[in-house]
Amino acid sequence: MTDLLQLILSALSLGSTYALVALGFVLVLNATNAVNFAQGEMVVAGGFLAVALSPLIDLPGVALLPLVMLGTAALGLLLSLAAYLPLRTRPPTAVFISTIAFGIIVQNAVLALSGPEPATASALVAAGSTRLGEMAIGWQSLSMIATAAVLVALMHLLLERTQLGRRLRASAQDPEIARASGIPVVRLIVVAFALAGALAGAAGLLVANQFFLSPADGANYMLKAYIAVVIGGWGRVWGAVLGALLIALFESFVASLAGHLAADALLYVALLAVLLLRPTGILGEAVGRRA
Amino acid sequence: MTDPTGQQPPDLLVPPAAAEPSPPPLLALSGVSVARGSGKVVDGLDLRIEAGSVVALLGVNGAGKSSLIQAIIGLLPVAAGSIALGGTAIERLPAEQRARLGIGLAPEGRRVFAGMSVRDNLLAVCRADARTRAERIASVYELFPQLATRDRTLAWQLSGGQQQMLSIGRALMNLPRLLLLDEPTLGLAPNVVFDLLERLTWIAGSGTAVLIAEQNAAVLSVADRGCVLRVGRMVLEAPGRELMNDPYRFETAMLGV
Amino acid sequence: MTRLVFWFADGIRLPLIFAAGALIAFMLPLEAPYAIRLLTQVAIYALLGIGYQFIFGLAGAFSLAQGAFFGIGAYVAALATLQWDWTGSLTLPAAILAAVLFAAVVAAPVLRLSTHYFALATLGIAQVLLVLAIGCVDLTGGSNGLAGIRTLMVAGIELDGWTGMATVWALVGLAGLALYQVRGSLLGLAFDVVRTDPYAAIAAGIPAARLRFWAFLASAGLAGLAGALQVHSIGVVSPEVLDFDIMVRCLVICVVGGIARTSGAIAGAFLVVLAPELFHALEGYRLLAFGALLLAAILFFPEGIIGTMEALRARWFGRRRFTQKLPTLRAPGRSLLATTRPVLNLERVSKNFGGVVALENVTLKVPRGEIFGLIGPNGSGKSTLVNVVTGLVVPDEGRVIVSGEDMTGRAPAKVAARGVARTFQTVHLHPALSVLDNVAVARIGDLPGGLFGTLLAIGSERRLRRARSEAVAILDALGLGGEVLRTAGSLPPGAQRRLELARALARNPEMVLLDEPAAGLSEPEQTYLAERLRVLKTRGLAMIIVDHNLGFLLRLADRVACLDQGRVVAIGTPDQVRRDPAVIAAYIGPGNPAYRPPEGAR
Repeated sequence: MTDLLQLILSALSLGSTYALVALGFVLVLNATNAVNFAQGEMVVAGGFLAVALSPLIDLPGVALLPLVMLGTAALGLLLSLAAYLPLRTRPPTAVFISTIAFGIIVQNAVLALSGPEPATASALVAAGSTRLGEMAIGWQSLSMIATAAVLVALMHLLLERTQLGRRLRASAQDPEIARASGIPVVRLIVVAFALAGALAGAAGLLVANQFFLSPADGANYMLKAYIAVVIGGWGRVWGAVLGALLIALFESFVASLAGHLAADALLYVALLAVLLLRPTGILGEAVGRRA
Repeated sequence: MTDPTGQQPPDLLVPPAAAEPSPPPLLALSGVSVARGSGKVVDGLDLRIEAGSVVALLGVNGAGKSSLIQAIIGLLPVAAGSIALGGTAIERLPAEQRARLGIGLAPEGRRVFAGMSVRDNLLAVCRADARTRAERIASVYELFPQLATRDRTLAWQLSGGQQQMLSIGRALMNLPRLLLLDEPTLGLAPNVVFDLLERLTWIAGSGTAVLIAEQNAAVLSVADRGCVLRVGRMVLEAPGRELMNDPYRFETAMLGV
Repeated sequence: MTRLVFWFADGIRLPLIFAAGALIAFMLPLEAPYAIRLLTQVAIYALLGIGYQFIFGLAGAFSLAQGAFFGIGAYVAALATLQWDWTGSLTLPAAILAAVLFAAVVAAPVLRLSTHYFALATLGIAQVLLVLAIGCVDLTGGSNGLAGIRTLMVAGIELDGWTGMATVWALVGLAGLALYQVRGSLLGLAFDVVRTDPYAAIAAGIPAARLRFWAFLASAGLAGLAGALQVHSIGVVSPEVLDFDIMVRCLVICVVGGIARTSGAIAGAFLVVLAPELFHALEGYRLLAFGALLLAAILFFPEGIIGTMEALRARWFGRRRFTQKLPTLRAPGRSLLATTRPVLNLERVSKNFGGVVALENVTLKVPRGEIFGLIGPNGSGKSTLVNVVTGLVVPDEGRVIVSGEDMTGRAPAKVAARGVARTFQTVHLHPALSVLDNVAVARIGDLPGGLFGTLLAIGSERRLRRARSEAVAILDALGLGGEVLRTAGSLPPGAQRRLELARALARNPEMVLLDEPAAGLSEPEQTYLAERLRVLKTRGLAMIIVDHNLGFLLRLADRVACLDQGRVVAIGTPDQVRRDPAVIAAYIGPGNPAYRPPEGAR
């Protein structure tokens, strides 16, 4: 029983980072219909920014969060200006490749600046763990889940309750009509990239303490976000978050039974099954997107 | 040359209009052509719309009505000719700037933001501060009370008629000088159509010019002017009442047979 | 002298000369073993890239499994060498076969998916293989991989160093020739159309699914070969061969080099292998520079190195002229007047879409040599009717009989093969292709001889020549004989409509469905089109024409049916239909019956 709870806790803490990455991924996907292959590298950039900042500022990791998010938001902005906007009228594969190229640049910039060794940042709130009955609960896991939950809730408020969020959603649903209604769609695309960068940066900060982070990890996060989006229903914001949690649960449980490699392989097999049987995702049809 | 009677000849050199310059019409199209794919779907069209008037643009499918509407708002490029809104040339501006100059669009097929609530549909496009936004929503709900009770309903869950009201309401959120409606009655029950048309006269009564592209001759009942398009050209232009009372002339113009 | 310059500037010679020059330039200052190793790597990546040109360049499908096929080839060759002591004459075919078989197995489900899903599915396949390679330690040696794979040996001859490099380059030459051959053939035209506009492909009767399948297998086979050569060349295999990194390099090769071209793959391979070496001085920043180079290339050279070179060549030496002599006239023949039974017979056809009636109890007969007009307001069911006839929509009830054969529920390709061609409402032509080739491609038919015929026809392909000559005859009959060498996109709208008709006729149909053929045409263009359609009628062709331009249609058609809410409300001669009050009511009458009660959700 405690094992099970322990497992769920670690799955949730993993899932919370995936959720942040996937949320950013789907924001860009909705705004541009483009797959952002650099989203994983944004996680790495955020993580290493946290690693670099933590010895300079003697505060718990949470305090670094705004700084890190601001940094990766700027990176996201740069991404949209350098690798998306100039290619808007070109076939989608051009954007695939330009974001891959941007990812290579970010990954190798991190590598060059901090070396290939995996690194960790300071704890989010506190190190160590507390006991609940017979169960040891890591403060880091708890604070990861809490931080991610707060960020997801803030994103929810932003999207649902602010003019910016409404406009983002409107331009994602029908960019043409949004434009004809006076909404500056191109500027909102840039905002979506910046938000995606900020969320990925936050995820990077979260994982940078719990797990070792190495510059080559980006692809993994990008793939998980991509899968989460497919499982959650292509283009559905909250579907992507749910999809991310599902993936993390799946990964953690299968890994505890059969090892990490098997979990990875089975995840991809499950993904292929989903794609072939239910191309609209297992959480249902994407609502509100035109064919 | 002086007239022997001492009277001035009728002044032929100075037209009376120059003496009292009339303000430019709200919308003036001159020689507008629109190309779609490889063909011209609108061909050298002239049209003037005064503030507060309702103009119906009639024609069968493929006559070019919808393309003209899209060219006015800027979703289709103008191949030739000019479009002026209140005297300012707008044909080179991007769509969002034209909207900001005071054009509202209720597009063909309604195109409401399907996954968003009625309220969010209206709020998203509004460019005013929070209090004004609330006032504008209230006045849209006053115009279409059916929407008021569905404030939080997602747009795709609305009936066709309600979606059309939402689409029009959305176009009114920034108090446009010109409202463009593309096939607003398509797929609506006759009683809903009459209801909708009545609201349009209210909107026009507040000074907004309304341009409706339609196949349904029923719009003529509220139109100050009816313009019949056929294969991209204006083939008939007359007061709405006149067209209603002369169905033969109207049908011939529409069908071209 | 000028002629000499032009000779060098023509065709693929310039890229080849560029490649040779680059080769020599890099060889000279380097130590021989190092240079050989580098150039062998270039050749292996060129092979991988040429393979990717088939699926990505020709078929236009964004596959992310090319790296996986490379890995399969690598592991198969390694295992076959280590476990069974096979030599190159067996490992290379085995690697190709394994990759092709694997591709054939995954192709069926995966190739159906659209862009994003296809990319992700192929990526998923690649990841599964990567994890398997790491996980099956007993077989693959896990993360450490396997070492001690010996160099390539074919027929008892050890091929390493110079000979090994030459062998790989020879294979590059063969693969490149195959790609070049396909590109210049009727098949290449078909690929071009499939990639540019799927609707144009349907209209031309191109079996797009089969072409994609072949391209997928070809790309897998070449990737498998490249993988096998790689392990023989470096002697070890590890999960790195399945890494996404290989896939990225492959993309870079094709996109930065030049899409769909052999020379592009070779140029790209040079870049991928040599650029990191060139940036050697940058040390830690070398991959960073590589990424920046890739980004710059995609931003500023959308056509790649080779495409940019060709553009420059066009600017300096003028456009390449069409060298082929105009083929002689030769009309494809099928006598259409032999029988009197109707070409199309619709019996009590009904179709509902989620409760909305699209067609209700429609019965129609269209005999040979008749122009049958179909009119009706928006949403009256005209498009559904066209789709039912062409097999895109299966009716709920009733039968569709084409030339006496019941085609109800048969696939669109089967209906097309039975002699039904169509055009679409909007123009779907390949704008950059010549008028001639837009029609010639529709002569692809059922691809007799297929891929191998194309590969073995060295030089200009006979089928392409024949298709072009038949196309000229058809174009001539439609008054486009003088325009054959222009690009389709440069034609005026009226001519484009006639070109679409020519393409439909190139399939030798018994019946053509024309969806709004007069849309966007000027009066004289309409008159000309009508004249041509009447000539076709006298040859026995049956036509169903949907058009909103009633003036045009009612003057042209022999009989007209008016649809309203899915029912035929009037049928008869144009004069009868024109006067029918039901028709006028359907279009504009007050209390317009075309208006249905409000639909619910969309």
